[in-house]
Amino acid sequence: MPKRKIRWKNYIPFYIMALPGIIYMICNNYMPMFGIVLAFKKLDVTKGILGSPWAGFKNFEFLFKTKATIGIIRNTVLYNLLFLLLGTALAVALAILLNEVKSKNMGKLYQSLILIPYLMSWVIASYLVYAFLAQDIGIVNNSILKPLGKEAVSWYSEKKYWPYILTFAYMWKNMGYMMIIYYSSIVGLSADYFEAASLDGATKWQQIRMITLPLIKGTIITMVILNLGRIVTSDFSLFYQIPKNNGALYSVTQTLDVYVYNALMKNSDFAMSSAASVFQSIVGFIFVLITNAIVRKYNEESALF
Amino acid sequence: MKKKALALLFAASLLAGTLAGCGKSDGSAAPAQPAAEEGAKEEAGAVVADNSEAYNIEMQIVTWGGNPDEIDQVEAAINAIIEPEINATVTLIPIAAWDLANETSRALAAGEKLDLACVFTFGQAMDSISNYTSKNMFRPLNDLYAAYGSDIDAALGERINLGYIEDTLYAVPCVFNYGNGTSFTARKDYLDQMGIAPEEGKQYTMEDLTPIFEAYKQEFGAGHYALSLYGTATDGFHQFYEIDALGGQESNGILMNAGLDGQNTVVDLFETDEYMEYCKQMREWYQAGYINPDVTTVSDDVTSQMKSGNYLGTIGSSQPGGSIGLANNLGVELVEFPLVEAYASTTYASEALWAIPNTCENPERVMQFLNILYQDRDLENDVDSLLSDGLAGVSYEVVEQLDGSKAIVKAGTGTWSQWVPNDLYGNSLTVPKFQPNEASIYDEIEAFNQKIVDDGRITKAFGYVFNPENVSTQAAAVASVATQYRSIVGYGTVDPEEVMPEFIQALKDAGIDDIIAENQKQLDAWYAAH
Repeated sequence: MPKRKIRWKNYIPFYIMALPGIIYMICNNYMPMFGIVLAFKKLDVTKGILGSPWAGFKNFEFLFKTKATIGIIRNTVLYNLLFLLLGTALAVALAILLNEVKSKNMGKLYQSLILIPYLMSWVIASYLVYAFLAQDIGIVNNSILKPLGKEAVSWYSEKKYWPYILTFAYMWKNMGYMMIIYYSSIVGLSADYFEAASLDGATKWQQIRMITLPLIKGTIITMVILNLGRIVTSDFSLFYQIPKNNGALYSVTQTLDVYVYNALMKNSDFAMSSAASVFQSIVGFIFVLITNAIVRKYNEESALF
Repeated sequence: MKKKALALLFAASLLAGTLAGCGKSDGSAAPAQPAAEEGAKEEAGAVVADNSEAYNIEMQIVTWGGNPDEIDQVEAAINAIIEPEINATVTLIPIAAWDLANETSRALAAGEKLDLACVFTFGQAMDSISNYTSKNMFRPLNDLYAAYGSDIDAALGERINLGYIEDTLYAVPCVFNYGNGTSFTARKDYLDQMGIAPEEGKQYTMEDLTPIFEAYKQEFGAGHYALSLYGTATDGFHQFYEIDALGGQESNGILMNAGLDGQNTVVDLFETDEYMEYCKQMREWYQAGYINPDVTTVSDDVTSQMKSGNYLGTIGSSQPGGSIGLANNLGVELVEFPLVEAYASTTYASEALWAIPNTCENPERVMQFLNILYQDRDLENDVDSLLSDGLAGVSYEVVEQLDGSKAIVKAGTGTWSQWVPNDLYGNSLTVPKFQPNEASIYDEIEAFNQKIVDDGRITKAFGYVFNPENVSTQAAAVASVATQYRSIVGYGTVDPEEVMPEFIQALKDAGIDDIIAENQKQLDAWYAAH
């Protein structure tokens, strides 16, 4: 008993250190959960949220009203999975490459250059894409396809190109940010391992495979689990701005967030919007639990909880 | 995005919880003196005798995205007029037109104080009272209107019906043109070069425009497009055909021929032959190169497109003096090819409606203030002129003073006319008009409105507003489907024969038939009551 007390006391400074973060979490992540109630209410502002009558699951119905819903959820989940897998692979590769750059200044320069797109808004990015792909004045049609004697492509009405365009745009913009986390954990690895390995005659490739990757495995798994929590939540701006909300492309560009926006923007229905959020959160939560259970089964140390 | 929305909602809910109660008790605690008097003008004096503090009316002002420099001066000028009369002052809250609907909903859901909310429909059902009444945000105005609205009633007449949902008055429309025609508005210099001019008295059809577009293409060649369109919006069907959108979104059902032929059946617009014809014609124009191939992607508005000089003209509503704004902006002369003869419908006649939200603490004063807006006064005392055109000597210089608040003016040093639309407040037909309008403009407007009445071109369902509350799930799903397909079939970027069946099926899956049936039911009930 006394022993326990002492142990608890030892942690006090850490709790104090964490306090701002905890307060932030409570304000930003826990208090808004009250809004979940709204998803089940028929909002009447004079009665307030709690006083409004219950609506059961009526607010959720519009999410499943159209046949397109399956396509919308498919888009959301598949794009997220693709972004996650490809993004992680590329980010880890990039982090390893950057770590091999010996000149300190050049390393900093590359890092900044890769990060710059992340700081750009999707709206600006959408105009960059437009500058390339516009049908009559675009760079691709006028300066690349024309000199090659190829016919101009109507990019904004051809569905088949968009999964690639969106993936490219997403990678271009987010790669730098994803890379930083892995880069920092690689930089943190002790140089002793690598020295020992090279003394034993290990090649660069062997070092990466046998030392770097196993050591950052924990970071990778944590990042993947965290991202799976957002599996049905899409980057709204990417899917809305880059294709310029063009109806012809919906079957490959419309995700849940875009659907909610298009359906509810005109009548600001708060109850239905919260229903959509609740749906996304619950599915995301389930995904996190499942992935975590799988990870725990194979490698308990890497599991989040 | 969603997280932020939730956070906002929570903050909103806390406020709503506390303020919802306050709103009610404040309402009853507010000074009740005015209720006893009768006749708006007389009791205005009675309020002055009351020594209580002046009530501050927070009023929304619609802008095109920027705030006018002289907003404080205009506010002070209005206060100088109304404070002695009704013991109230105003605070003007400028909000961009495209943010307005969301901003109003958000503010009212959060229980913020707002005394006069603008429902800005823009003559094309951009917003609707039912968006707010379904969440119980607006106060019923029947009693207040009967007590203090005599001047409003004199100015509006029949048109007060636009503010009703069933038997309850929720909003007061501004006096605006009764109806609208449409026309193809084109640059005169380009037309002269091609030797084309509109035939006197002719109503043009879509086919009639084709040779004009053809000539333009021949004359100016590639990179020039005859028709400038704002393709990210919904399509332009209603510019070529007479329809009554029944005060709501076109996707919720319409009366074809605007019900002018006595037809009362609500139909799904997208299943009609007319819509198919329209889409085929647009497709033909698109393929012939009269429309920019990037039409659904270009996000420049029509004015910016026309400014580039690469377009012949655009299609839009036609009213006396209507194209002067665009002509001034472009610095060229424009001529109109009339398409649809002017007619009146709920959608066209309600440019903006003014509602008193439930969060208002003293609705009596606000209604008295509204009443002042509709009074015909001398220019220096006319509050709706101040709101519409700003302050004389700052926002504009008077060129020719006509009777009452009517005047022909030219731009001053202020930026009011640049940012604030001038036809949303009180009686918008009697506020000062800018050059090159001439004094005759007021008579032209009157003749325009009179002709609509004389020709009987008023839809039978005039004043009816569809309330989608019972089918809100379907309406949300249909809105999403319509957004997806309308801009592509409606601007010719795809073959309508191919895509239309898919579009119609998607609408059916989303439940459009339920909406049409509900709309028909409400319309029949409305007819029975009127």
